[in-house]
Amino acid sequence: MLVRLSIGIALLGLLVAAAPALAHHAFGAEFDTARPIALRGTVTMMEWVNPHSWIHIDVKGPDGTPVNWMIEGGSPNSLMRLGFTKNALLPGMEIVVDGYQAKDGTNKGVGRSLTFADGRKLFLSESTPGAPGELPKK
Amino acid sequence: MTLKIGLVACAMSCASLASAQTWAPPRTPDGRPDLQGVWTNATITPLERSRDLGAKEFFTEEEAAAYRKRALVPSAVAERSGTEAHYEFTQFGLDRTQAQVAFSLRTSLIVGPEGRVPPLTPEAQQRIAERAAAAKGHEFDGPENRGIQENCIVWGNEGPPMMPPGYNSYLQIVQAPGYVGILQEMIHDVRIVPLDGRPHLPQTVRGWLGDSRGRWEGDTLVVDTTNFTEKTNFRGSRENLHVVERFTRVDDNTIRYEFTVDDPTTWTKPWSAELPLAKDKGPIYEYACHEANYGIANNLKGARAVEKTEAAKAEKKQPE
Repeated sequence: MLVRLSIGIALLGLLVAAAPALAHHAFGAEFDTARPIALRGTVTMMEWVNPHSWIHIDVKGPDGTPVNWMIEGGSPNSLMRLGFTKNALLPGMEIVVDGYQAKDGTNKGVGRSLTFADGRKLFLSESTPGAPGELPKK
Repeated sequence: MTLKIGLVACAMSCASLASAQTWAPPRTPDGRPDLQGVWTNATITPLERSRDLGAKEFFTEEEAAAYRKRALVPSAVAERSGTEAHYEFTQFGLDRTQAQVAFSLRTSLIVGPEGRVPPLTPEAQQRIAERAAAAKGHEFDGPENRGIQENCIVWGNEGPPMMPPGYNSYLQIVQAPGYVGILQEMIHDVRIVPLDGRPHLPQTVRGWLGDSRGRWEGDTLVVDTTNFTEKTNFRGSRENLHVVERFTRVDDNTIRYEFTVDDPTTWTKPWSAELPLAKDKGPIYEYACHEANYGIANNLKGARAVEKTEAAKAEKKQPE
């Protein structure tokens, strides 16, 4: 067990060394892995802004009242390079968010994994240009 | 056969003599090599060579292909970001497998047999340890305690030297008579480099990206940068950092980017690195970092919430 752990750590060190400055800010300080969230909601707005996009969704509470949540995602510039536009995620679309809530306890979270209601990954699809291992078409 | 291998190696390493002899760069109206356009410095080559490779500076074609195969696999969130509490990189097109990568046969960006950053001077070790000790426990006191990157002032990749940021690795070069402009997408800063031989600004005037002065050495653009601030941090080097960058267009699609960094108050000797800049179709997109930098406020609010919870716990533990 100890051996396996140390190999894991060594591997992590290598990967991190090869991929510098990936996170813009301290995600571990912003979000709480002890507060996992699984939300199904309707998009009210997507902020296509840097350094991070924010997706706003209305989630129905137990009494049916909608509660607005903000979900943090990645830089929109890369989405634009993959061919996505401001029309990729529009108000009214239903999405499922799997992630972690903000440490301050407010209705904010990180979108660890985002899917449409039918299970397709948000933004990513099989037809996504630049799918793993493939260079973007020139 | 030898020639063929040489040409393939050239295409891969962007540094072949054969290429330089047969290929002439396009030129601007004033006769200088035309470096203009959008370029990417995305790479899978680490800055420092893995120790098990010893003094081996270049992979063979086969080794490079195998390395590429291993490196270009989308990695798990925690591996890439150091925390589970992060969005999936692949969902937002932020994985290197989703972008154009400028390949090289190099085993490390750092050139030479050592392939690693030289040791820190005792002075630098002490300085870095003192700073770390002073910061410990105060990391989330206020916005001033967060890094200049998190504050959207300067991104770590901007340098100079310009390092691959991991995603959105794009820069644009614009030339005008007497000037070169270098814009990096993250986080929108442009360096305007005069080429007229004027001296550096007085030492009292310092900039986040330092003060750059350029000149042509043959067909190579050489940019010399000094006058950094004590808040700029390139691997422990701050206001005394001296950077010399060299831009050489080696084929239609590649600029060879070399840099040498020197700071006797930080490293025991100067060190140099080299990486290709690959032509990209562009465009560069706006990156208005401050406008939506909710992350810093959320971080601080998170820290306050944690402190409150801990204080409440401590109070409960107090005997009656």
